[in-house]
Amino acid sequence: MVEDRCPHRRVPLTLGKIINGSIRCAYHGWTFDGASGSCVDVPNLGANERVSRTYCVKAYRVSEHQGFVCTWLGEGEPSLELPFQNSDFENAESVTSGSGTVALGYDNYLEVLLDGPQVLFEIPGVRFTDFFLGDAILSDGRIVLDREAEWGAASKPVAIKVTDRPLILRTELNTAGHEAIFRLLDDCENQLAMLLLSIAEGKRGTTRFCWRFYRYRSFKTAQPTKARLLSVGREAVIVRSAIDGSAISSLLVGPSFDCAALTATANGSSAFAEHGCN
Amino acid sequence: MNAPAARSETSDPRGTGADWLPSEYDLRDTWFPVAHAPDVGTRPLLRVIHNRHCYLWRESGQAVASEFHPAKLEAMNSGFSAFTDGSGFYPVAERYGYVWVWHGNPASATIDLLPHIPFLPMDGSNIPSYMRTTVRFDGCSPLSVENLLDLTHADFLHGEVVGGEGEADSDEVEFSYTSETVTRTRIVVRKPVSPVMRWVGGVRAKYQDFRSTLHVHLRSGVCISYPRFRPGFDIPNVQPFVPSGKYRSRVNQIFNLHAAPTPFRQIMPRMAYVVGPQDNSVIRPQNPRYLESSERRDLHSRFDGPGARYRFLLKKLWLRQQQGDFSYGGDADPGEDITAILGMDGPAK
Repeated sequence: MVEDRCPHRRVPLTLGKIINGSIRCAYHGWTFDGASGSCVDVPNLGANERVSRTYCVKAYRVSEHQGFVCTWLGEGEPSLELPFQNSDFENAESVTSGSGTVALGYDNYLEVLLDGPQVLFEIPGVRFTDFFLGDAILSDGRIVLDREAEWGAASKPVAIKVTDRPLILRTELNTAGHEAIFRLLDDCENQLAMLLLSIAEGKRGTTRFCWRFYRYRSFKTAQPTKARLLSVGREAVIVRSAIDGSAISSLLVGPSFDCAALTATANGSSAFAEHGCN
Repeated sequence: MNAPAARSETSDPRGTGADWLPSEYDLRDTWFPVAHAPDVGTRPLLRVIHNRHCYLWRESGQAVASEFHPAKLEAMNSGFSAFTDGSGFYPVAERYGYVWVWHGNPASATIDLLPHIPFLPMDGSNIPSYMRTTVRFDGCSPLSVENLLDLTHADFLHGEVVGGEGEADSDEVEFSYTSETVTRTRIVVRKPVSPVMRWVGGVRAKYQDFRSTLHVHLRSGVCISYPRFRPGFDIPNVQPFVPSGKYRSRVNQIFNLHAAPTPFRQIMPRMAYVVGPQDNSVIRPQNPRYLESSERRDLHSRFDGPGARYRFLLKKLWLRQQQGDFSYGGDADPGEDITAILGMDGPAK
């Protein structure tokens, strides 16, 4: 992975092409090695001319892990594990993925993930409630919060009458940032589905995300027929790029209030490490 | 996310000063009525007390409560806490139609500390399902308790349900307290009969007298209410506000409406689903405004006496617990007979 900026005339390299494993700029054809960033070709040089060794584009370390392409943006060797360690990727009946950019700042996006994830994504046929099962806690370097969920249309309001709802939506935010896991559990805490969400700060106050959604066989087994009908013809999960500003602004502060203190407890005084996924 | 404010290791962890921060007051060494007893069967139910998960189910008919789901209990044994003395199982009691779970040091759990509820059968029998409700509130439990102690909001939030208290000949409020309880009594003379009591309860008189006593247990948020209407009948009920973290609470309410006629006795408990959302409409936006200490302190009127006392006592108790003192004061006996305090003639039938 290299910086999206040709060192020759600053043209985005994303306009270029991959030629024989190297990226060639669309403007003058300068070509760079993706791993080292070295310029390997400047077209029209004479037979006796060589490309200077100092000609290079900034390159980043890349790893592929659990379907994500992960990049280390910091200096030197990565000081963090690759994201989404210790999650259950086996036995998924279906796996879907996607990405997007949302017009909400990164910090606010993380807060909304805790206070009102229904604004940001939907699992058709499942209704998330805002009845929190306790507060956010710190567990294995993650901020963990459970809320009740139930089968039904997400668009319908949650009833005031509390019954014992059959589902739990568990949110896990990595205190090092950039990584969220949502687990849909049944009342025995068996995992029915899992959404992995990689989040990064975008330009101009936006947030970029990419996601993978794992649905297990137990999801269909547990899902009542009515809820299944509600999700017929719909995608397994909808992670929204277009979000309702009024829904965001009217969301009351909830468990996100405790996030800063929990993050500080987990990380000490260290700043967030830089990393991101695509 | 922003960096947190520095926290000191004093009894005032957020630097709260004198402000009222109800979500901070997680009091211990008390029984919480976490579920209606008939709801607890062989399939585990998840409940939360403050921030602790509690799974309830029955083994050979006896209610048990554990820190983790029973299927995972063995695997999680390294995570058992002091709240179960490392056993994984909380102390449990079953009384008055509730399953009660002890929140605190198990060594201090005694049945004598269960609140006395004189109008409910101790064995929980003869409580029809229609006299039980469960309502959620979107705030920490002290905000709901304060709402219940507060009387002047009723004309505004619940006007069409309670009706006309403001038109009474006289309306007096008195309260008393111990280090563990607040008792508020309201005596109203010649108030208009509420529409629900007139048209559903069959009380055809235009005016009635009303005496309502509310007995609040500070640690557990158990509120024991005894309203008496004459002409009319008594509507005793229990509203235990069980905290599910800082932002939510769950109320398993039980009425004793054996003195009320049908269909009032069937309909009245359903009113919780009308009155509850009305209260929730103010508690929900209140809650975030009490998460942090504010320079702008609340104002009080002379009608806020019981609520102000509740705030003072709850905070005092919390400060005492922060210093490691979880004992009950000499003036406090949660299990004492409160028949006279509630103004009852005698035990309910």
